[in-house]
Amino acid sequence: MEIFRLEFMQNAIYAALLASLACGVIGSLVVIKRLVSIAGGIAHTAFGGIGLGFFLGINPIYGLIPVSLLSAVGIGLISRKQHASEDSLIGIFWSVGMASGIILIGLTPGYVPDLFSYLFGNILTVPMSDIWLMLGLNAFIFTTVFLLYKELLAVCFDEEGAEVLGVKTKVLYLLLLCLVAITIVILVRVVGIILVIALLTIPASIAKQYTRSLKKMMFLAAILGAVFTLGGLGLSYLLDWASGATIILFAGSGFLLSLFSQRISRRSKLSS
Amino acid sequence: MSKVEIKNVSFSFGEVKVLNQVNLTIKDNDFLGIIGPNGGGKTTLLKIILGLLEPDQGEVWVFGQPPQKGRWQIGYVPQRMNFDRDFPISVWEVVLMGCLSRRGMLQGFTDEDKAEVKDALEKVGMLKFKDHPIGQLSQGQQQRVFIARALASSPKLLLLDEPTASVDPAVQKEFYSLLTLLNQHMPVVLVSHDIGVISSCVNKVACLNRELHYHDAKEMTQDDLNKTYGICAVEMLAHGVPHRVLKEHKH
Repeated sequence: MEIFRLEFMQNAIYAALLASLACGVIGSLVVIKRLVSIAGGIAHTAFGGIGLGFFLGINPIYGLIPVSLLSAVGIGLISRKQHASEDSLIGIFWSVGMASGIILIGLTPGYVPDLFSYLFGNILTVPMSDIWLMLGLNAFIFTTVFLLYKELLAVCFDEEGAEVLGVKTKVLYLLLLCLVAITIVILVRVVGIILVIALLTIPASIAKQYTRSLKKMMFLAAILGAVFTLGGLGLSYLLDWASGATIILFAGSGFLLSLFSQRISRRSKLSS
Repeated sequence: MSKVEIKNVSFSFGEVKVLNQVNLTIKDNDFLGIIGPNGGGKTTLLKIILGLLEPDQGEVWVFGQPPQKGRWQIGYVPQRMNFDRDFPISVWEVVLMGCLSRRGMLQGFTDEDKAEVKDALEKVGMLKFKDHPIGQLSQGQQQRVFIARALASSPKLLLLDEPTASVDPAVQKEFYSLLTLLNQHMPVVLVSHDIGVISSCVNKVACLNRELHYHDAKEMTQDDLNKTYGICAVEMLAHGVPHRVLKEHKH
């Protein structure tokens, strides 16, 4: 247990827990509103922001925040135009964002930063200042979802119906994408841009199978997220594997397990 | 006073004209059936009334206001929706959504709203399912829940899009008696591709296929149906509720 007294390990645990909360709440909304590919688009576009951060010589997270928010609003606004194909648009944002990131980092003079830790995450190197930032962003997400819960549920379930009933659905849709962007910022430190989608979808998809209300789904998804991130972190330490990838593989196995156990319980219900 | 007033409305998707110079008035005790073939513009017309689409030409007034201002007074029952069977929302929560029409952002639902929801669920006979997830109900039951949602918004007009598309005839009959009951308090507008839905409860009929042909009396002429469907419509009656829509006619 010596390991848990080390400062970097304590920070890793804080980061894992903060990431789990965000992915439980926002991941549930992403899954029920079917925003998974849009979330993937925002995450990869945001890589341009990390490149921008390096280029300007600031903490890359501060480049990541504005660029991920801009890409969320950009994808959200253009995809709602009648003639745009949302699918192709995501692909374009995705690749152009990553390409700009690579170029900006290439233009950065001097030392070439460790790209790997932003693409695949490195939870062991999260500084305390980033923990505070993650805490602040989590607080923002929670407050917003708490205050707009009934509207967000309505928009996820039946957007047109909600609009007729007087809900400002366009604003809420954009706001939801911005919350996804903020969640991506929180998750990048833990699992990296490429693996963000896993933490947004896996805990929420499992939770969806076992719960009947959105609140409970968010709660269960957050708990599952904590189990996966902390468990994956422990495993990565024991096996000496990359932390982000180990967390995702652990979560993926959890998903398979829940799928099988659902099958078996359904079958035994049918045969009894 | 007329509830909805549509004057010379035209609408196109790109090059394709979907509605051409449509005029329609919905009055106090109307029970209007709008029929027409698939692709004839029925759903487009509903979306224009609801302010979800803007017409290229013409005027639309909903309770004397532009649709986006007046539409909260419409109880809208959408066509069968595509949601996952395990979508995490209960019947109660779906109907509560109807109360959003009078609650702004940051305002919680009140006891009055909850009483309204209970009332609406009782009216459609679905109160005992209130805690069920909506995805686990049958099509007919889901339809009732969406009517309850419309009622919970205390509407002054009920608008239904293809309400019986996938419901069996016995349930359909029950469904129409419910609508007849509701029609005592508010106008009801029903849209369908199936002439069979023009059952005994409808008191006005409009045929829509790009152009709208409107009838105060329930009986249509063979000529109207020919204009709308372009073929003799007798076959289309075969699978409806046994009820005569057409005057006797010769082939």
